[in-house]
Formats: sequence, structure tokens, C-alpha cells
Amino acid sequence: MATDAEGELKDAIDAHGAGDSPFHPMEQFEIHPLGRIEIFGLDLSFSNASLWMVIAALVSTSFLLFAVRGGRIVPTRLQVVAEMLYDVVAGMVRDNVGSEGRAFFPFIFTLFIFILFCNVLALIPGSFAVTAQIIVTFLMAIVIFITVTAIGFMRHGARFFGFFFPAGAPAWTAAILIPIEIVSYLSRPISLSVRLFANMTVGHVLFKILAGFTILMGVAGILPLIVLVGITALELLVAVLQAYVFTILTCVYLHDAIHMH
Amino acid sequence: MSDPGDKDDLRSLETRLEAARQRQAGGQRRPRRPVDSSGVAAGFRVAIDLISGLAVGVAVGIALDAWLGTSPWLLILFFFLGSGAGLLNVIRTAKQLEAERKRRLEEERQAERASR
Repeated sequence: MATDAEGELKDAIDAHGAGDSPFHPMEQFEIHPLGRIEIFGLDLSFSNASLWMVIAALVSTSFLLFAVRGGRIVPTRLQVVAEMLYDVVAGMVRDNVGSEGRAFFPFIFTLFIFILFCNVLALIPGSFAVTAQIIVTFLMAIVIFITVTAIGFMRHGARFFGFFFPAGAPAWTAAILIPIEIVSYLSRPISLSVRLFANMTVGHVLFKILAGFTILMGVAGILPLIVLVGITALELLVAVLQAYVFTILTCVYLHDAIHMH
Repeated sequence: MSDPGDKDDLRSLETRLEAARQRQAGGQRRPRRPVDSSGVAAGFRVAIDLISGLAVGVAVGIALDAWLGTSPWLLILFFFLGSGAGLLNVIRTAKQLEAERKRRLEEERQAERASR
């Protein structure tokens, strides 16, 4: 009996499952392999997520190259945009990391541009939100986390452990403070990745739900459509802001590793 | 391209542009709105900082319990350590946001002084 009921439930879920309903809010995040590639039993298929990452990389690179071609002293409009992006990141690195941060500028700039273009390209209807995949954001965060920790140990050696105990605190508090500091340090990649992932996911689910309402409500669908226009503007802000926050936190972590507070 | 005449031309263009901008804004430059002033974003950031500290604490507690067979004591201990870490994250973020805001205000003040 129980198994029958379970089977029925499963069928019902399958029938209304993500793939079948045009209004399912989570369907847009499904990953479909575009071509099967298997190497030594590993599934390395090129998926829609990979496709949109490649598109983001290509669009951002060609945009920047196209914008600064010629390198005029009185810039064209596109060149102003490219110079503004450069200035924003350069200012961010200068203010948050200091002069030692200049060596890391290429990495930080690439990170910012890649996330920015992934976020903004995801706003095009029918595209795929790469940064709404937790594995994508988590991988970026963990790479940054490991790199920054390695930089800390390379610069300061074993003295970097002192980072986990605030200078000047009485010695008996070490038993509480050190574990708290370590947990806080370990939570960095989690908060970094979840922040970007959650913001993007929430925005895209909201899009889909409001778009579903617009279609289902017929003539009255004009109301959710109006809201949708506003939400789209808000999501554009969120897309840029989250790329900025991700990058600025990378700078802050880098500063901690180089200067130790 | 870069003879001194060109540079002087550019500089005078800069001052004329600045004057035109001030005329347009009614003699007063509107302060630039910082991107990060959005309260929702700051709130979201702080909330995730708090939760991630707690989540990592609990995860470490559960993992250590499973490894050492001390269930549930390390989970309880690390629940509190995680809460502390979450609070620490929030305090750090708040400090950082405050420092950023101060720096922006200072920049705006300097820009105002320069345009006067």
C-alpha cells in the first residue's frame, strides 16, 4: 500500500516536475548537457552552464578589446565605460589592499568583469544564470580562500597563525577566541559564495513567478508586468552590486592576508 | 599627440567642462550616490555573515562528533562557537561598511571643497 502511494506521489511529482511545467520557477536553473563528453568515466559534458560561462568570457574580452582599440586621448563612449570599470577596480584595490595589492590587480579585475558579465548576461531572457549555481560561486570562493590563505602563509610563515588571536587580548581568552576566529575564518568562503548565489537565485525565481502571473492573469496581467519592469531594473542593480561586493570582499581578505589586520 | 599645447588645451577644456557642469546643476554639484548605500544589500550581507558562521560551526561540530564519536557534545560546543563567529563576522562587516561610508563622505567633502 505504502509503496503504491509513494509511487503515485512520485508519478504526480514527475508529471508536474520541473521539466514539464512552463511556469515552474526552478526549471530555469536545470543543467542540460549539450554534448556528451566522457573522459576516463568522468562526465565532462559541455552543458548550458559551460556555454554561458564561455559566452561571458568571450563577450567581456571582446567588449574590452573593442572599447579600448585605438586608445584615444579623448575617449569614445565605449572607451569611457571600459576606463570606468578599470578605475572602479583600481580604486577598490588601492583603498582595500594598499600598494602591495597592485600585483593582484589583473586577477581582481578579471574576477570582477567575469562575475559582472555572468550576472548581467543572465538578465537576457532565455539565457542561463551561471552565478545562480552554488557550485560555480563556491568554486570561485574556495579558490580565493585557498589562494589568500597560501599568500598569508607565504608572507608571514608560521606568524600567520597569530591572525587567529587578536593582539592585546588577555591570554586566558585564547581558549574561546581562537576557535571562534577559526570558525569565522572558515565561514568566509561559505558567506562569499552563498551571498552571490542567493541574490541571483532569488532574482531569477522572482522573474519567473511574475512572468507566470503575467501570462496566467490575461488582461489583468498588466499589473505583474508593471512590477516586472521595476524588478528588472532592481535586478540590474543587484547584478552589478553583487559583482562589486564579491570583488571588494576578495580585496578585504587579501588585505588581511598581507597585513594581518 | 602629447605636446604641451595639447595638454593645456585639455586642461582648459576640463575647467570649462567643470564650470558648465556647475551651471547645469544650479551651482551645486549633486553628491555622487555610492553604489553600496542600498540598505537591502547591506542587510542581506549581514544576515548571510551571521548564518554562515553558525552553519560552519554546526557543520564542524557534526563532523567532529561523527569522527570522534562524542555525539552530541561537540555539536553543542561548536553551535555556540559558531554563533560567536557569526556575531564576529557581523561586527567586522559593520565596521567595514562604516569605514567605507566615512571614506566616501570624506571624498565628497573634498570634492565640494575643490569645486568651491
